[in-house]
Amino acid sequence: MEVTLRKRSNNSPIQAIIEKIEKSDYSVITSSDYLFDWNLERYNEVYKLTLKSSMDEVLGLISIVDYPDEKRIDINLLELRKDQTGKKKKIDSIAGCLISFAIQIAFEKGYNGFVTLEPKKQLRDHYQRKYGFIDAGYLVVIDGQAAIDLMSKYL
Amino acid sequence: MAEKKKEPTYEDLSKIYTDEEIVESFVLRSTLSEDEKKEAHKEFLKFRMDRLKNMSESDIILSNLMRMKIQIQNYIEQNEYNPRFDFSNQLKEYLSITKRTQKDFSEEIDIHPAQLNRIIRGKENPNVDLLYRLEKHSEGLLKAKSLYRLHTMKLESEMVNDEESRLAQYDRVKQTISLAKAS
Repeated sequence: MEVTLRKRSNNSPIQAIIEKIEKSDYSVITSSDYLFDWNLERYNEVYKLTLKSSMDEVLGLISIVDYPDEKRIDINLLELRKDQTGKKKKIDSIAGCLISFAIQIAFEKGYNGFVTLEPKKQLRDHYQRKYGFIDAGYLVVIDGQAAIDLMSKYL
Repeated sequence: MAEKKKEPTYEDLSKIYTDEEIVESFVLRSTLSEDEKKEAHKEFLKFRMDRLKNMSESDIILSNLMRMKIQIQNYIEQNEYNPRFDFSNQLKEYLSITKRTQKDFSEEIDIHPAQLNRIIRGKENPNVDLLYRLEKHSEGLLKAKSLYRLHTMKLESEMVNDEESRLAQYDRVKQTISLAKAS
């Protein structure tokens, strides 16, 4: 699916695509760009975000797991390319788009947009403030209207 | 054998990034052991089941309409005709999700019940006025433009596959532009 991101320098729009990763992509997801070993996610559903103007450049990745019995999508791992993290980042909202994409899948499957992730305890409040997740024991979750609001913001 | 990559922990990342920056760039893998997770998951499952049980009628309708909206979006994006997504079938689905009879719905959007019935049975094409009204009725969840696309995808499919009409119309053409064939 196509999404609109914003350049940090001048807030101008920039078109991007989120789509399922292909086997050949694993060769370009190298440790010089990514800190985590994405090969370990090969058996999960992994999606990449690329710029429409440069589709061989992967700017971010999300790995999700579907738990149909619990009607939820879990975000197992999400990471942006090194040059899109922290103070160096040039484009805003990549993580928000990828999380919203997971929510969209959760709506499509009839889970009311129910998405979970397991935060480190120091980050729990930040996921809540930044994206609207709420506490659910060892996980934080988002669904319903909060999930629709996040999708409206990022997709 | 390839060496296992040493992955960063939260503590490693927090030496480079603030917590806000981590949240804007990462969701880290679980670090709980299987036993820890099993225990913690019991509590979570209770939360999840309660959450499902406590959904109001309105929550369920909204959730189902979101599913419908996203499935329509994906169908249009894939651009491959599927009769399941014909406007008439999606309208039937809409009435089922919103728990309305044809009579209720025809009153709510000010359309003659017989006309609505013909559209639902695929005997009459939807007009643009109906699509606007359905957009309003769904409080903007279903866009008139997307609904129109459902209709045009069906028309395209019918047109492309209607060899009989194509040949009949070809027969009526008396002269073509007679382009010279490239050698």
